[in-house]
Amino acid sequence: MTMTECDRAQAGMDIQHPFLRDGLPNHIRAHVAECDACRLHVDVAAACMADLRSRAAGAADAPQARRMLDAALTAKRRTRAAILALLCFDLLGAAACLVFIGWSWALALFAVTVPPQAAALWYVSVHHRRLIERAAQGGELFAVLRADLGARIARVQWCAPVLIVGGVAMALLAASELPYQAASRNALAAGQILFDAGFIGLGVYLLTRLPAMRRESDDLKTSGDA
Amino acid sequence: MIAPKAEREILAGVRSPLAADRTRAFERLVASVHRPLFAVCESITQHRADAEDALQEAYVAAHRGLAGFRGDSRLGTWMYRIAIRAALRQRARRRRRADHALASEPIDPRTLAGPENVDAERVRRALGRLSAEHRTVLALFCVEDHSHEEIAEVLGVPVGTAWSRLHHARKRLVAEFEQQRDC
Ligand SMILES: [Zn+2]
Repeated sequence: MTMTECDRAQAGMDIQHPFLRDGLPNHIRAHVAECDACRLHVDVAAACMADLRSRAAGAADAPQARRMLDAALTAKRRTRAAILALLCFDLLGAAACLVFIGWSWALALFAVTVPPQAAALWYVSVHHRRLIERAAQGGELFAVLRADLGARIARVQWCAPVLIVGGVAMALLAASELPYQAASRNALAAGQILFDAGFIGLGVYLLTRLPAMRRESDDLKTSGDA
Repeated sequence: MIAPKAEREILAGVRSPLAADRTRAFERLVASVHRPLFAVCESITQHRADAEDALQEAYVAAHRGLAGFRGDSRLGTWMYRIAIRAALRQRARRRRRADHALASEPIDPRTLAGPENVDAERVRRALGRLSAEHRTVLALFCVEDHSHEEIAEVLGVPVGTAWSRLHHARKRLVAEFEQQRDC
């Protein structure tokens, strides 16, 4: 491959002094003076250099090292504390979920291990009147009972993974922001708060649902006794 | 780059048993590299606030790493490397968020002192269209009078690679510039 005069000149610009017209050797300068294409190369490079140097000139003053390091460390500590609190909260939520699910599973286990009739009687006595009605209509009581339990478990089973995965994702997100939170990161922080609110809602739902279920069972037990 | 004498003094300072000496030396280091590093970071991130964030991250990392600095490379080279890594990370973060609403602030054209026959704003746009790799190498060549050897050391590549990267970056820049003109 033969190099053209322009190739040679442009390679020379790279090797010699890439951006300064005055730094170019005479033979390249002579070519550039006559060649529009190479002149454009030199001019664009010079404009690029001017632009980049003006950026350096436009930089804010160097930060005060002591203040910057203090701020960075404080921000880091705060972020770490926030992440830890978030994680504890998520784990608490996950634990509540697991207790709830465990309770449902215990019921299911009880239902399948003790003699069917006794389990069915006990379960129906503490749960829905609807089941008794359906059983009275000729349905297979034990099957209805199992279906009901299955539905219950399916309804809450997804909570725990969501809480755990969500918690880890949030922690990672927050960690990726380390160590600074500039103004433009506020949207992300708002998103995290919303996500957090979702966890709060779920936690409250679980906490409020449990007493309601217990009350429901008590009511049914009372009405069953009556 | 930091002058060898200043570099020796800074390194002596950061190894001093006195905290005040260490802080003063670190402050001196930051002051001596801040402007060129900012220009390189800004040209990588294409965003002023991101460049400032990246630099702050780089300074904190440098402060942490200074005690273990063995002098295998020049102090300036080492700082450039840390800053470029931080700027690339910052840029990746910005891309992940696909937050392109916050474009680089336009610079006052009067501060550009390029050749009169070339539209400075168009050059800036062309620069913005280059890859981060090309912008990095151009910034390193333009901001300070680095040699090919120094730039190769900063980028961690052989001198020939630095040279050819510069060559391609310049070609790409002119191509982008001409495309801007056609638009
Ligand atoms: Zn030519």
